[in-house]
Amino acid sequence: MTTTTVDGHAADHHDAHEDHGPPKGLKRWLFSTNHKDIGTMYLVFSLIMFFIGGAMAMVIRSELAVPGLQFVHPEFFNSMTTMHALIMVFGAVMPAFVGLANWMIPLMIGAPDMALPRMNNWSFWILPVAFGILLSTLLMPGGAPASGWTMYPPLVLQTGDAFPFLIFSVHLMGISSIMGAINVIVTIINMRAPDMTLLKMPMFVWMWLITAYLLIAVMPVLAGAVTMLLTDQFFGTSFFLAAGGGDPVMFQHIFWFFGHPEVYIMILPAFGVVSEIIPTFSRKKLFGHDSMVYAGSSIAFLSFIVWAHHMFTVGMPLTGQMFFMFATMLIAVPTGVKVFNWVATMWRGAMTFETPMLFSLAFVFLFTIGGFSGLMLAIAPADIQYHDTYFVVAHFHYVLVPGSIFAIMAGAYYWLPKWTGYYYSEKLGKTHFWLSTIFVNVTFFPQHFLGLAGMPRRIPDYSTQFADFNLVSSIGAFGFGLSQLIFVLVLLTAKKGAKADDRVWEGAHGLEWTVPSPAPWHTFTTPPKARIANEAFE
Amino acid sequence: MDELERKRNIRRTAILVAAVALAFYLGFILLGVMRA
Amino acid sequence: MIRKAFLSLLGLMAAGTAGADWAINMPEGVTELSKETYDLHMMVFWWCVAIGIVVFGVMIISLVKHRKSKGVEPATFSHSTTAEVIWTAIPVVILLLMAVPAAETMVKLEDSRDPDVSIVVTGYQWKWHYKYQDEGIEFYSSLARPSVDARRLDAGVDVNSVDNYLLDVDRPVVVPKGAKVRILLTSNDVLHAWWVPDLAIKKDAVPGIVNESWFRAEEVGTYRGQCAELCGKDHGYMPVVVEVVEPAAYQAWVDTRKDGDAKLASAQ
Repeated sequence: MTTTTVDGHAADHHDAHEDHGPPKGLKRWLFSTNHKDIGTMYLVFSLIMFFIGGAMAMVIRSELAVPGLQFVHPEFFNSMTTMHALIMVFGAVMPAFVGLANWMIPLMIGAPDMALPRMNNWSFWILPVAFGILLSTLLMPGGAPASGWTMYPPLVLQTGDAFPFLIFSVHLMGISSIMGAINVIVTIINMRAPDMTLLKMPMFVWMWLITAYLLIAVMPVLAGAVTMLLTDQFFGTSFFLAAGGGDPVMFQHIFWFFGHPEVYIMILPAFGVVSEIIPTFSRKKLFGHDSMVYAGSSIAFLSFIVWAHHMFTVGMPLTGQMFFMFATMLIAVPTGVKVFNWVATMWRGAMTFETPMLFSLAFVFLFTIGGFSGLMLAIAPADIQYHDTYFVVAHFHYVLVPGSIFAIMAGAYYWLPKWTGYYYSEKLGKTHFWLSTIFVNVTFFPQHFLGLAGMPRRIPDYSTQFADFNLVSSIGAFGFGLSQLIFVLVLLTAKKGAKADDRVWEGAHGLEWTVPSPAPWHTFTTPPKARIANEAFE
Repeated sequence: MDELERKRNIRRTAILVAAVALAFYLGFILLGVMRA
Repeated sequence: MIRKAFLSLLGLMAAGTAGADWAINMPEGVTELSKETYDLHMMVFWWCVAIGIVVFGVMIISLVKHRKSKGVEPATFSHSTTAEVIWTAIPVVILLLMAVPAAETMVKLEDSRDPDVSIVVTGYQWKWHYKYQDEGIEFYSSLARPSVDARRLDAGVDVNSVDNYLLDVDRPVVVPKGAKVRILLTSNDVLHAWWVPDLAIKKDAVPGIVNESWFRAEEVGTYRGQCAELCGKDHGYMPVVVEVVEPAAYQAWVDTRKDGDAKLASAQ
């Protein structure tokens, strides 16, 4: 389709890129190829999933509040833990970061849009279908999948009618993520403003580039693993069936080859967001920009050679256990570099504490606590005691909730005035922050104690000695869940505040702050000079 | 960089990355086939 | 500020720390390796505390002193190779200090040679089967009756009135004190994991594979654990109970078990 041929298509194509406003009504969203609209849809979708997954967490915490079964049967409890994890990982955290990427990467690198806008539309619209299928399994005979989000065979093969739907929805989520990742890579490689070299890219863009490469490498691996589950169930293969000469442990190796990079997929963009916000509110340039890039890349590389630390109790040879223990411990080094760089960025800055900064600071504190328990888990003999207990639950919730989710919240508050053109209510934002931070600790800190005292994870009922901390944790969980409603209130009142100027925040630097607030439907139709935006730093 | 060349580069990067993804998918299934 | 709020909450909790109910740490256990594991756990924990004090300390000083409201002008530095090298090198050294003892313990954990007693443990949905290899004793071990009666939805029984709720079985494993006991683990259906915290054993039971682990209990007592790998709806209801007894008592137990089994066989 070149512009030299005079036909209807070319004319339409040309029209769509004129600078008049978006089409009205449903068509704007359904057929959207605009990175800002698609970004908005991703973010709204992930917020909805956040509340659905959160509701499931409330079911879990209600049942666990006191010993004995009060509300649900064990099968349904297992479905809740499984669905909560799948929805939060693939429906809330990942799409939220893709949404931020869609909105901000083109603005940060001075591109008019994502490189492949129609594929962008596809990768979003696959998601509601995937999660519609996944959620519909709740109504199927045999119930929703209940074998944990890790889908270990042989247990997963005991799933009822939901099984093929589980596999299909995981495939769809994978396809969506892969297409999103292709788009990010292609955009960053080919669409940067003329004088923006790779090492001049903002940290959010860098971390997303690394994340996208991880996605390309591991989402297909997950797809391969679940494909093999599907053929084991329906087509007579025995990849993972001991009776047919297969190996159930091989699934775990393949799953965690995906699963470990996956946890970095959920945290590297968070590092990126925080690395944008801390310099802004410290009014000081990010300390060690290049070393942050190298640390991020090292984490990405190491994430491929540590997967079996999820499997220390599975019966590996001693040398294997040694290798995975040492490799896992090494990850602490680049992660430490990142934390030290953030602290050095704050050091001798001139800090103010608006909501995005508060969330970012809580991120640095609480993610580091999650990192500490991660280091403890790396020690293989100790991990044998921690494995599959609430200590692990506490660990990964610390890196995911006050880690990933706080970073997403921080990013949402940070860029909200750029998206809407108005300042949100700082008072509501701070209330949201303080309640979230208090309750997230009340929820998850006692779970460390529970795990150490011997409470296994994924159980609907427990011995009475675990009663006290479970009650504390449940109270915290409800507090945290309710606090998130304040965020909805912030969004509903987002346009009631003062008008935001282009720069929005006093200390903000970067191309995204050179366009008007709200960012118009089309931006950077002609490439900007990156130097203009960064002049203050040069 | 002229527009046509940029389009070609975009297509090339996209195909390359998609091929890598496909290779990982098929490669890991092949791994399963060989182990089983 | 976050920490302060949380610490005061912890203080409230500590006030109620009378019984074992508020247990916050790993048990030291009753084997050499469980004690070594505990020591490793505490060593890494204290390293984390130390690193935390330094990192959070610097951060808190910064948060207090370097605020715009105090009228400070932001500094302009943004790079220091020296600093980067230092905070890459120091963690590497600390990690080496942790890795050496961890590796030593791991070598011991894997050495299940020359056992005194060998027990084949098979996981079932949802109970355990034990077979003493040399003594010819075998039996199933499932959740004890009082827990079974109390565990259902709307059971109408107060679970607090049940002794060792969900942690008691009808027939425990009996092993002699001071003997090296080798556990050979496998499964009949899905994955399970055999876990007793006080013995520092946790190993997966995998269908088609036999895993090995071992322990040498140094103290007489009853040690309780649970299945630790999701195995379906009753995953939470298949506890493990190990009774460690004096060698003489163990021999007596073996003899009565054998007699009982022989009588059963002749009656049939």
